[in-house]
Amino acid sequence: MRFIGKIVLVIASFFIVVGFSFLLLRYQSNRPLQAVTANSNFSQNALSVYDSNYVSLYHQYGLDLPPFYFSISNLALPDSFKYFPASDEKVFLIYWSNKTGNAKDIHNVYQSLCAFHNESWILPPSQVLNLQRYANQIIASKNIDTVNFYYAKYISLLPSESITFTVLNGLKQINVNAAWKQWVPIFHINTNNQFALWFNDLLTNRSGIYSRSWMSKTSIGKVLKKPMLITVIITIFTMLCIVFVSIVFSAELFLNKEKRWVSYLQSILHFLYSVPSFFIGAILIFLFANPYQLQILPANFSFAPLLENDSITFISLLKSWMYFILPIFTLSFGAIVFFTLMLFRSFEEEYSKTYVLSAKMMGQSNRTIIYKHVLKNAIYSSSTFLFLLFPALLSGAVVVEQMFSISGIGNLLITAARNQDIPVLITLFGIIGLVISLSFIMLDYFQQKIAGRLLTNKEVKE
Amino acid sequence: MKWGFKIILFFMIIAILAPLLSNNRPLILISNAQITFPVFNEGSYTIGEKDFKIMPLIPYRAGVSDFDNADYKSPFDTQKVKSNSFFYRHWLGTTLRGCDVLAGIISGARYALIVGFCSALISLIIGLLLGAGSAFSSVGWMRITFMQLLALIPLLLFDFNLILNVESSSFLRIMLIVISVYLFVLIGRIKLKSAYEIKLNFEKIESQLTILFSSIPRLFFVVAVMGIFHQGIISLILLLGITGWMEIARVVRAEIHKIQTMDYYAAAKLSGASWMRITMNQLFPNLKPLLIAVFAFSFAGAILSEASLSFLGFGLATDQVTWGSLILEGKESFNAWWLIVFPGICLSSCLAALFSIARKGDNDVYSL
Repeated sequence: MRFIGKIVLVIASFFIVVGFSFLLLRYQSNRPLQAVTANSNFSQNALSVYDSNYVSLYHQYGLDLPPFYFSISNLALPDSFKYFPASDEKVFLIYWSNKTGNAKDIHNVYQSLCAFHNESWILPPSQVLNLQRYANQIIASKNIDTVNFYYAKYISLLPSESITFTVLNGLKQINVNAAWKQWVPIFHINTNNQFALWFNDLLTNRSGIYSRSWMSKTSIGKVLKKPMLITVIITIFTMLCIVFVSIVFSAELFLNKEKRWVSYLQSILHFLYSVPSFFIGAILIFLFANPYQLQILPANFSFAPLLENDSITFISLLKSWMYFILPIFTLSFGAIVFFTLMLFRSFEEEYSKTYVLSAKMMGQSNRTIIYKHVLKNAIYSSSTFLFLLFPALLSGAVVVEQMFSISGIGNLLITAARNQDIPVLITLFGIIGLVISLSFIMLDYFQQKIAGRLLTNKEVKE
Repeated sequence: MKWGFKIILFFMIIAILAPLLSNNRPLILISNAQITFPVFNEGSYTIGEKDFKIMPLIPYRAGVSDFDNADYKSPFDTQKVKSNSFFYRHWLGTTLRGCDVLAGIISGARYALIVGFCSALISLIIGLLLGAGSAFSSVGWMRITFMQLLALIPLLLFDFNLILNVESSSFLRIMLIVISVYLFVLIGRIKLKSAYEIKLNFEKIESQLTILFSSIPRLFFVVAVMGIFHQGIISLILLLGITGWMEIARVVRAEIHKIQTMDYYAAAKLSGASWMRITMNQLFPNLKPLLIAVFAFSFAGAILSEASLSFLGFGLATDQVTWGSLILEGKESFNAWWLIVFPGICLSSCLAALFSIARKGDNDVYSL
């Protein structure tokens, strides 16, 4: 029952993470449609915010929408004001909504403004001038009588399709004297926002904007499939390597602990723990993959036979074993040092217990005692770190994959971040958040059921 | 003094004196009986042949290319330098554009220590507040009642909208936020019947927040955000600070729980000591070694993250030379071992020193 609650929390945190990434997009300073326009006919420099092609593209991708839409107070203006380009109109509309306390009606005026011009949020320059002139006059006067005055003055001159006509009509209907209304909180939600768009695409629409990569225009499943597989393969091999090597290494160190070189090696290991993985990788490439030195191992993963076909087979995996050596060694180095030191310490703790003494009295050799009895108990105490290793490995994978040009998740993340491929970024975040929170739950389960070290509150009471 | 502190102090002195140690402008220039200090002011200067000048120890600036020695000159190569003076040689080699590596390492120390220290400080403050808050909530402080929980969401949204959207005076904004905080406290004092009095523990919220934040790898998060945002030192410091507090909060919470079960804590409480007195006399002295350890550990983590980010090309701006960017340049060439080894040794010794400080500070938490 406890785990069901945790899983619900994990799903909730998944949505919070995705929502947070939408919130980040709102404050980005670069060109948001960089990924979309990269492979198309648009020339990057010619694109301006006032370019009609760009505007229509912007609208098509739903970037003119707010990331969320919720507003609890009338003091809070509608989200769309943030996107209003020119400052004069913005000041004008904000002034009006503060004055009348009716952000909702001002928002309606704004939306009718948008509807006129190809459903875009940007006004053409001529209309901006028109509105500016009017707005400046209103702002200068700050009086309801002037609204009526200019209404009477302009309304006959303007054609009925004109934007100023609509704005004038809209403003006329707003009750100016109800300024107290701005203090009354009103809750309104609009489903027309980026988060809702994404959620709809996630559930139903396979050809939607957020279910395909903006850069390669293919579906996200296809984009993610192969990098995921490669990263999973490398992570599993690294995990196995870490567990196996550190167990054997620490056990052999412990068996020879009376000798002097072990204490020297321990202090060297303490230093090696603080050596970053990319430094080790760079040195390994320099030594073993260098045409001027020893060229024994391949360093460029993109030539591996694994990547020749679309599907990964077992035979191709075996064929490209050489390509895995350097990345796996680089990725597992720090963790091997950590686990070796850690297991060594827990061996020391366990070795002073009575069951070791009884095993010794039965005449078992030191090696059998370590591998058969002590190891089992020593691993329990360090098993926590095995589960916590997973996020650390994923973090390290970003660096290592970039270094050996492995087309895994880390590389995908970097290309997506460079080109601002937003759907891929969001999906990556979601998947990694889910996987890591699930590994935390597994850790909890492991500690309770298998290791039996921690008891729940109920069990303690019983 | 332990060797870890010595190494960090050495790097700190280098970081503080960095513009005086390596610069292409003279420290003191005497021309026409006028003494000027071109290092300190940015204006242009002219040097005649007979003028007296004192150059810095390393007369090169990080990131400024010396085209005579371009294309990866090793420390042992013959170098075309200005004069035969001992100081004008590139002692640790050059990069592709002919930038001096030693000058780059000195500027790298500056950036690494600034980024590491500031972001560790930010994460220490966040972690200490959240960890201590959640530890005290189990004693009976800082609990959120059911009514407060109901009011929390609208109040939070109200504040959120105030901060982001309203373009009125900042005084009004601050006043409204203060009022909303006061309302929140006031709602907590409403006493309902015991049947309705559902209390939500702050500790549970804090632990869920910790799990939420630690469910995304730090490097993943920072790479994605730096790709979207403008790259710069302040945004890097803030991001590393925000993503580094989870471990600190967890450890501080556990340590305060441990202290609360101790006899001296109970004795201090029984003797009628005030909250402030207990905190200053019992809690803080026993927490201090742990805080030093935790700070050193997150300092090291931030330096490592900064170096990895510069290595990936997502760190500071391109004209700011750091240890990670030097290693990145070294990766491009198969022969330039000096670009990998010297910054790598600096980085690893800095991290090793910080880890040793952490290990000395608290043997239970970061012991190996």
